[in-house]
Amino acid sequence: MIVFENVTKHYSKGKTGLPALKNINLNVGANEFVILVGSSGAGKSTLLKMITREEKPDKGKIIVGGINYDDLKSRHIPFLRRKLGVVFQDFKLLPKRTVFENIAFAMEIAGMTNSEIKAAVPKAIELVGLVGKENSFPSQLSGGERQRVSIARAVVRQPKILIADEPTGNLDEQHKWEIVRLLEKINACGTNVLLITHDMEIVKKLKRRVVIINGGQIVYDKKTASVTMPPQKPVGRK
Amino acid sequence: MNRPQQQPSGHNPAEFARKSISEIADMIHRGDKPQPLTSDGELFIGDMPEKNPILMERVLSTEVKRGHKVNNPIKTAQDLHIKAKQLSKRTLKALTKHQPRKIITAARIHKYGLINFTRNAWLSVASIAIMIITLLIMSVTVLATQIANDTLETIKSQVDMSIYLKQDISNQDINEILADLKKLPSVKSFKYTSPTEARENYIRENLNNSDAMLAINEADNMFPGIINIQVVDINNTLELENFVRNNYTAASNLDTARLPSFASDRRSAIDKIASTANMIKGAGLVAGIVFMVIAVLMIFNTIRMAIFSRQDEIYMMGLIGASKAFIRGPFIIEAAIAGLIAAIISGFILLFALPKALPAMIQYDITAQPIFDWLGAHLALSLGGLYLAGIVLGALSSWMATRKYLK
Repeated sequence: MIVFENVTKHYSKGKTGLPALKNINLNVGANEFVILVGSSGAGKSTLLKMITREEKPDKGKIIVGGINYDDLKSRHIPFLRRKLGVVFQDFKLLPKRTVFENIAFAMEIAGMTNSEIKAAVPKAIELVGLVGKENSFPSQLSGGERQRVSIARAVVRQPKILIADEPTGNLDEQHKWEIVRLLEKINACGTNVLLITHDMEIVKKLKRRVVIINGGQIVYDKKTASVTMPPQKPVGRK
Repeated sequence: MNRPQQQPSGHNPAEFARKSISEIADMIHRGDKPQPLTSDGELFIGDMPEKNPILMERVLSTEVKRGHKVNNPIKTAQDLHIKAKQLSKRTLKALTKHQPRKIITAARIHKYGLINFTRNAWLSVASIAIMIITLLIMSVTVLATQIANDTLETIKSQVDMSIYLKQDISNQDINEILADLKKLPSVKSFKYTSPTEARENYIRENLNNSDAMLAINEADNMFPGIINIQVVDINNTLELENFVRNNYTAASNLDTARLPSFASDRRSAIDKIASTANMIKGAGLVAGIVFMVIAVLMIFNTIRMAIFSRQDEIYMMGLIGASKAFIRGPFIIEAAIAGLIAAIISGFILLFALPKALPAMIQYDITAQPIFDWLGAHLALSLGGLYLAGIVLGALSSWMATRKYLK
């Protein structure tokens, strides 16, 4: 589903500093649940931005859902993004739209009919346990609730790929596990889940494939129960 | 429900999909026969949402469920690359084939424009207030320019050239001069006052002035015949001058005591009026343009600030996959609504205020009546123009302001 081949990305213009990503080789199969671990600045978010095509690689090949990103033109990008479900770390909800509208928005932009939206959105709301909050605005919700709206919006289009960027970052213990269980549920329904986190507890408990990224490189890629973070490599200019 | 078919071990599709292309190529070289590349590419294709049951009802991946025939089995790494390329192109094509229906999108753009307008109430009110002021400035500028021009025309038309003729001029000569005068293109109109008429006019004006009446009764009629001429352009009197100098009948009948006005000291007064009128006209035009530009910039800036505060929204919509039109549309509708409302309110203000200003202007000898008459006769047109200006200015500003965030 997601293939990275020798992907390298520099942010600094002169390409002299350390790369944000260096020779990334990653192959995520269909219906897989992959946990991407790394401390901040390791390159996790850059990897995510590569998949959503916010950033282009300097070098290397990215194939997602069979689409070689070298073939992508800017007019294709909205269509590509409609096929991806992304849960953003900072939710990225529309402040002036209600919970229902925020979730429906994902379907509306794909041109789905009102009846389709009326059928799918309540189910997504139910899935994330926000029944009764449909008409609330994001500002009226707690952090955990906003996170769940973000998840509902990501899954309502039934994407083949769900990428969750630190979805538990600002949640308490109870809500954290709720979200994790939700992601597992979504994965069980046939969606490829890429969970980005730095929460080692989740990593240990889930026993899924773990990819550890550090200093822009993949340093570990295995299904494991006992992962320890490697000592962090220096990041940034030397 | 399609369950994945059982695959021989070692050819497990999930495992296969995890391999990189070079690994697969290696497999091919080793003689292993990999699964046809149904995995990555076609997943999006069969996955158009309308064909899918709801998420919770879906059970497993569709990766293997179509065990369809492969026409060109992959034998070499080259085959694999070609296949991958085809797959990518085909998937992209399939992906973009399902364009959202335009009518639904348009309806939603309008809906959200309206919703945004009401939910951003304060922002909307602020924009409308600024737009009212700007539209008023623009309307008043247009009106003032027109009124100034009309007033100048009035003043200029009141300036006439006088040719004084001998008192004993014959009727035949007069008619000849008038007929020739009529042929001059630079002459707009003229009026001849005979010496007798001039005397009668004088008597009529001075009935109460006993000294004047006494004097006029004592003396012979000393009034000259006068031709009052209005020229098309008071700056261009050359033709008239030449006529007076060169036309034999005219030249021979000129009153020797009184020079024609373009030749006397009235000449400098006429020139002064003409140059002042031109200067006012030019200044009015420049001021009008400056005010217009300021007004447009004010509207543009207001809309730009309103959109600036919502650039995150624009960015988010793009990340979720909204097309440019879908992102920009509601902003344009929102600004157009604000523009229309501002135009309607400005229209009311003008309808209320202008008639009150008219008498005052007339009192100061300002020629405001013609433009007011025109506005009264074309009320629908002028109000429509105002509304259109509001809508276009709002929409255009919004379009330009969002462009920056929609790269």
